[in-house]
Amino acid sequence: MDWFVINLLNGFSYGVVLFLIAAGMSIVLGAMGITNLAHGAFYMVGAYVGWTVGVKWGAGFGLALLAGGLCAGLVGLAIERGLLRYLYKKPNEQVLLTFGFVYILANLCLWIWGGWPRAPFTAKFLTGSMDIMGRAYPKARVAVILVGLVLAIGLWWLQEKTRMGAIVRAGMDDKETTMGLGINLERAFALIFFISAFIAGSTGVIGAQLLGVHNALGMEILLLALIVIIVGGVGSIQGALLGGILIGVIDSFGRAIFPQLAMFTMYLTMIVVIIVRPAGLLGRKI
Amino acid sequence: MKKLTTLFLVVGLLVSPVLFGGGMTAKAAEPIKIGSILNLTGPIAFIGPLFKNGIVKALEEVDYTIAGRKIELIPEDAAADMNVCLEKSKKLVEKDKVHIILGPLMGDAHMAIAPYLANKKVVSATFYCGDIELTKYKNWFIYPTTLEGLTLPVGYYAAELGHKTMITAGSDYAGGHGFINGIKVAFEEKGGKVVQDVWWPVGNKDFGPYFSSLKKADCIGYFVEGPSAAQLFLSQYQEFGVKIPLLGTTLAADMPEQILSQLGDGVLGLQGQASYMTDMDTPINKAWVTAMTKRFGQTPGGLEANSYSITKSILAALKATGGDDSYDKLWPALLKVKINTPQGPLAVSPEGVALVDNYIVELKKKDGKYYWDPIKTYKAVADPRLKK
Repeated sequence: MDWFVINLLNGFSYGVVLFLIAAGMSIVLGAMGITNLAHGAFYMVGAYVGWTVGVKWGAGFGLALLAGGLCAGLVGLAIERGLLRYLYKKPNEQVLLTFGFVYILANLCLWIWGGWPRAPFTAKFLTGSMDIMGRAYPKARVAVILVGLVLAIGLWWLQEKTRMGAIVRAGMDDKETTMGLGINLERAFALIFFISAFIAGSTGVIGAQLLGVHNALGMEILLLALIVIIVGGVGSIQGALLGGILIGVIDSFGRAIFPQLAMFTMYLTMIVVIIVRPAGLLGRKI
Repeated sequence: MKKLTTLFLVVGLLVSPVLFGGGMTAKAAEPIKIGSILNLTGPIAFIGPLFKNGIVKALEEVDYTIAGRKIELIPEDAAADMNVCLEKSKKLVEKDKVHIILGPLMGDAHMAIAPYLANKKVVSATFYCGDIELTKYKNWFIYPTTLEGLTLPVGYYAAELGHKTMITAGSDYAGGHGFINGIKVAFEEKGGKVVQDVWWPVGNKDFGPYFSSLKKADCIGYFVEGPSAAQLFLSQYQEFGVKIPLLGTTLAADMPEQILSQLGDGVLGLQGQASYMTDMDTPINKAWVTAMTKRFGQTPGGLEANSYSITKSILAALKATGGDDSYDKLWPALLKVKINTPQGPLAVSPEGVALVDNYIVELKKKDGKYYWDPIKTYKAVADPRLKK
């Protein structure tokens, strides 16, 4: 029983990180039609900035979260305002441009922070383990689950219950009519892109508690985000949450039960979803 | 959705983990060109410059000249990508006309480029061990020894500690299997029993599920690929409260001061195998560490020591041939090399495998500084499959 609970918690903690990574990318893809392959690189930038603020400067984990999110958000905003806004409805160009930024940002991080990886870090009060059913379990992972669920509710509220969310949903369904109603969609899109990059950056700091920081994160995270979006469906917070948790739990039990088939279970889930439900479990048609 | 799936496949290919002339004669008037395949970008970008520093130092010591011929170093970046390794090998051989290539690091890349380099008669060197399969090509200098040979001391030492049962745990790729096999062979030879083999994929980030499924055993003999994975493995080992003692491999190389200072005191007392320690108390090592620190502004570790010793061996062979870098002259000369290096005395087996001392080390701390203390030496340990 304790083995089951430990692996369930592992799956939830990993799944929450996956959800947070995918949520922003999914909304940007669903609402703006932008395929942002630099999303994983925003995660990496946030993680590095968070490490600098939280570990190197010792300014605390809360500030690290904020700084990581803010820095990634501003980088994202600059890319959207400077380049991406000229490439709406041009998916090929979007892919090339944003994939280029994966390399640019990775090399910038290499230049600024060097190549040595950074060990996982967390808030002081979350260091160490707690007892769960007689087994030691990292406190930081429990905190990741709780923080992730709070953020999930916040994002759901933002998308479903606010004027901003209504504009996003309207823009996803019918861009022209929404603009015809006098809504400045371009400004709304810039804000959405900033929020998406902000979440990616903060998630970099949250994820650093489990995964540490290194300069290939941009690529690794991108692949995971795409799997979660395919499983959960594009453009929905609930879809990203379901996809993230499902992939996290399946991956955790897969590794524990079939260690040599690790990762295979993740891809198998994706293949099954593509066959059975091509739009994803809770996806909107795009 | 179809577009998204296609996109996923394209990205998957792009980020796949393996993002990576015959009849040559030396011309005395031309410089000897030494190619090197390093990882200067990509996921292990921090490793490339360290290997390069060791090579540069060895060449600077002879003022880039041997037996009257100038030496030109041509470094190439493979970004830890096996395919790029092959491309860069071809570029070095066909465009730059090199007869010697140092590196790459990863075992999979060795196997990918070995047939080509053997066909072109290029003397090649592994930066950190190599599969014994490479010896069949008769052009690979495998340093410091074969994959299995390197980790034999871990198995012997576990048995000497009185351990009867062991779990082996390692990264699931050619190199990982070689290292784990060495531990296993030695432990079983001494009467121990391996009760569980655990494998995780290269690039694994979450060791929690693996820790939750461990059987009962006296110790865990493990290998993880590189500093990033070593950090995650050890920090999660502590967080999950695993009580089975660890015996590690490639410790000093994977965990220099930069990594240890981040892990903190929780890993003090960790024991395992290392082929070089910065604090080795020999005059040649002390002088080398001082010179390297002065030259590059940072204390050298196992990676620099490896590439330095490899380059010194090649230079010794070139000196013996009078500067002739053709395969037919250089390879036999390399097999006869006997030198003293910061790592210790070095000789070469008839198959091209280096014969050097190997160590069991323990992590200690003195004056706020972490260091690997050698607690046992295994003299010139060799893979049992090599000729005696």
